[in-house]
Amino acid sequence: MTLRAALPAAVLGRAVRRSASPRAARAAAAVLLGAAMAPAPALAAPPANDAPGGAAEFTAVTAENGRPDERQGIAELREATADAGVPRCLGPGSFARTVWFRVPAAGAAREVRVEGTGRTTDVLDLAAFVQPAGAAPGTPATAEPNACAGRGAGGADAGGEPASGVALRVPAGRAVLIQVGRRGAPGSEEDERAVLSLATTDLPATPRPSGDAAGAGTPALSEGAARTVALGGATTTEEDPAQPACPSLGSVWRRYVPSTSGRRTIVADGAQAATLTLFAGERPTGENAVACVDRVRSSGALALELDARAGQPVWVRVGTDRPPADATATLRVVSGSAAVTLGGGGGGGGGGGPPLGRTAAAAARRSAAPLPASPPASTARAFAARRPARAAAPA
Amino acid sequence: VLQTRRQLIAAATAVAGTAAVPPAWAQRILSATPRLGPGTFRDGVASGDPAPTEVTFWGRLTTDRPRSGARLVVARDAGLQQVVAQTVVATGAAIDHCLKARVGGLAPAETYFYAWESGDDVSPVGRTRTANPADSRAPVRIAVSSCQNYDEGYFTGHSHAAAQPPYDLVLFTGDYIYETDGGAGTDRADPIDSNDLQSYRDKYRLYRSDVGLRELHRLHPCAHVWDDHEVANNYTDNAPAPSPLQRTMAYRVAFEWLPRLTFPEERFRIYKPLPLGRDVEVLTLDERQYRSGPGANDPDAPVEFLGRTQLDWLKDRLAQAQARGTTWKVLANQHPVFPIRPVESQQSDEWQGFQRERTELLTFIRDRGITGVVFVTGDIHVFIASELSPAFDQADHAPGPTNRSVAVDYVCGSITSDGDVLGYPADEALEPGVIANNPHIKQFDNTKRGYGSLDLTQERLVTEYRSGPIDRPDAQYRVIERFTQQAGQATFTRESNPVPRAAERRAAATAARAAGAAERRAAARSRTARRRRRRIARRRAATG
Repeated sequence: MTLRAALPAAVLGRAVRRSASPRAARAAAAVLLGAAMAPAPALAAPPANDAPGGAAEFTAVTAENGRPDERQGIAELREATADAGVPRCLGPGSFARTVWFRVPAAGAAREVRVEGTGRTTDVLDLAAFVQPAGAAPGTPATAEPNACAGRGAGGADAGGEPASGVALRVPAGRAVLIQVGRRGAPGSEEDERAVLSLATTDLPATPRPSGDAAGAGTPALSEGAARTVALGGATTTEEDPAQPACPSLGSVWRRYVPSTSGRRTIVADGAQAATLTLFAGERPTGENAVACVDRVRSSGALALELDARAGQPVWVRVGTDRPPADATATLRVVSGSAAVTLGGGGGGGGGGGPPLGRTAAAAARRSAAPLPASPPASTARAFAARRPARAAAPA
Repeated sequence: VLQTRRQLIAAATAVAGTAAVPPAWAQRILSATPRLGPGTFRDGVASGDPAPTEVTFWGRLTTDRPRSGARLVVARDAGLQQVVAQTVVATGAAIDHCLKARVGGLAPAETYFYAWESGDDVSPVGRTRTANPADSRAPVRIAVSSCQNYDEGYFTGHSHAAAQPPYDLVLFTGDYIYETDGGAGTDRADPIDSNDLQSYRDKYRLYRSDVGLRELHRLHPCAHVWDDHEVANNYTDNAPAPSPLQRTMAYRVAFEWLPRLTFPEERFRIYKPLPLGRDVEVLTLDERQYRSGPGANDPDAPVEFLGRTQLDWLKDRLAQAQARGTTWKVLANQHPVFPIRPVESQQSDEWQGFQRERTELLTFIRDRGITGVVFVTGDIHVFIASELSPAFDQADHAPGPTNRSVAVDYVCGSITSDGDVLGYPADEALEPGVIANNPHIKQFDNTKRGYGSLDLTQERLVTEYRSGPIDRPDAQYRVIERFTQQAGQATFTRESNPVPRAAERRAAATAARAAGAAERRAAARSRTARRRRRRIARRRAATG
């Protein structure tokens, strides 16, 4: 009996996961096993792109009717291990074993989109890490995931046909690392494998807006009149913390330091303002987000209330997806509660939703024969009866 | 600073009480609860895979948001007043903003109406129907179509089928899309060469812009099985083999855009049973995914067509259905089962190229005494009706006392794809020669486009081939062939150019009225869209 048979991969995997330092334990186990069994057949080893430093490139493929625009990645996750020190942006159970891919930097700002599919409907964990300008490939920056998707994000992962994908817009000259993971006990090699597609689209040459990155140069936001915030050309950069509940392809930042304590309402208005997220701290991180609101309809304002303390900074992030070059939003800080027409909500059940009776009638009008014409009044009553009660106003 | 953070967390809320608040310190904001989101409904609605108490509903949002959601409302009436179910379904860019929900708890053999509602928009109202309960002997109606090439014409067969009384099931037997571009310079131009995720999504979106296809999906539950063009032409010949990217993403989009069940352990499985009552069970087949190599007539070649797992499953389901007394076993089948001599050598991509599995299946049907096996078929763009014999791989395979027919294959034409295949030019005069060379073939017409319609009862199956022009969207259809097959028999009688039945005449009149109404509604929708765009522009100007 070979040592491999006596120590099947599953057993070895459990031992590794119990150790405080999985990679160190794996390395030690490999040394021991290597010494014991050389030149026996090799153990099933982690894939070459198991760690971010070994990230694989996506590869070009061919097709009978021409070369696909997208590039291919094959993720072999059965023997992959977890990443020490890399935040797990979908909770502690996520990214239990991962492999890495690298999207090289380009000369133009780009939209980068990665989606993955496996044999089962088990949803992949995906995270994207924008690399700092000029970063060398051998020194991966993985302290802060900048986009994140998988079970728990509440989008495609929660749909009738669960899937995950990350998309973000990055400035010229920025590489992106893609982390691909699975959870739970490893399945068969075939079930663990995933096929990834990488799509990149060059963006028009639009200057990055003021506050595109969060840092020392982020413009301040003050109370009072509404301030116009340019959104065109917004990107996601390495300091942008992923918040799966309020994703966006790009974002623009403002820093607000209250001069007095008390209730404030932060309001973002403009159809291209897709999300509003507040962070508390010296700098925004994935772990100090206070709250976020995601757009429910294409019009209306996004608003969040907070009890501010004098002198304590709040980072305000306005997320945007594919804004025209001249797109703007307005941001304002209002003392107390603001009366606004809402266009966003993060919870379920349709809070902040459209006037249902009107839209139901519109649906019936849009339907073609042979369905009967809509009875608008009665339909409106039927929909109104189903409309959920709005959540109570905050105390 | 830390204290301040904690205070902020405790205090932060959304104005409408809907902000996502982190459940605990040091965790990112997650939201597993589906919610409404932005987006408009531009691709119609659909339902499919009906069971006695369940149906799968489909919709799609157009939005730039990475995630969104919509509410599905299911009601007993078209006005959506008698609501029986509603649910909020999440979606996102990673499934092309498609919405899919399997709704249970419905009543068997009932017609339901449904609509989707997002934060911005409400979909058209769709209609669907649950399957007959297991003990029901109610008649069953099934439409069968295949091979819809967008750039070859309007999907008028779908318009005609859509206007018929509710079908229990509409079956697509392959080539729902064509991956290549074509039709440049025509009003049916298709500029998309599909070979990756986005280009397949673009292709399905283009195809769904066809009014007939959208109406068919809106009004009848469907089931789809793919053939080659959902990926690439004859891709299983591996010349060249498609990349994992192309193959996987093609399968994925075929799931995203159609209202089908998903098997969690095998995401792309499409073979499954769809029982429609006491007398009918539909079995959908997959004749592409499990092929182990190119087709070959070499009996020693290690090639598979259905694959061992699926073939054993099929035999088992047929035996079970026979044991239950199910009168009709309808197989949604991509490829003709029978040879067409003298061009059978060109059929290596069909059952003819995989004779071991064909013989095994047809012999099993014969030896087990399984009756009422009906293949409904696509692939070759021809209307054909054929008897099937287990002796097809023998030199003398003509059906007769020793080689009796054990099943029937109804090849239901094509929606638009050209019938100039297998080396035969489209020609009505071909039929006598084809039949003379192939006694099992009882009818052959490669000049017409259209679809098949099956009426199944305990006593008989009546199959009609319906055809009409495809060069204009408002074409009139007629029945070109009618076959009557008695229960327990694997033969049928043929009636060419039959007198339209009363129902057919009524449906034709309804279709004509609907076509006119659809044009008027399209014009109205266009006006509404223009007004909406102007309103949005004004609002943007006001807020900008």
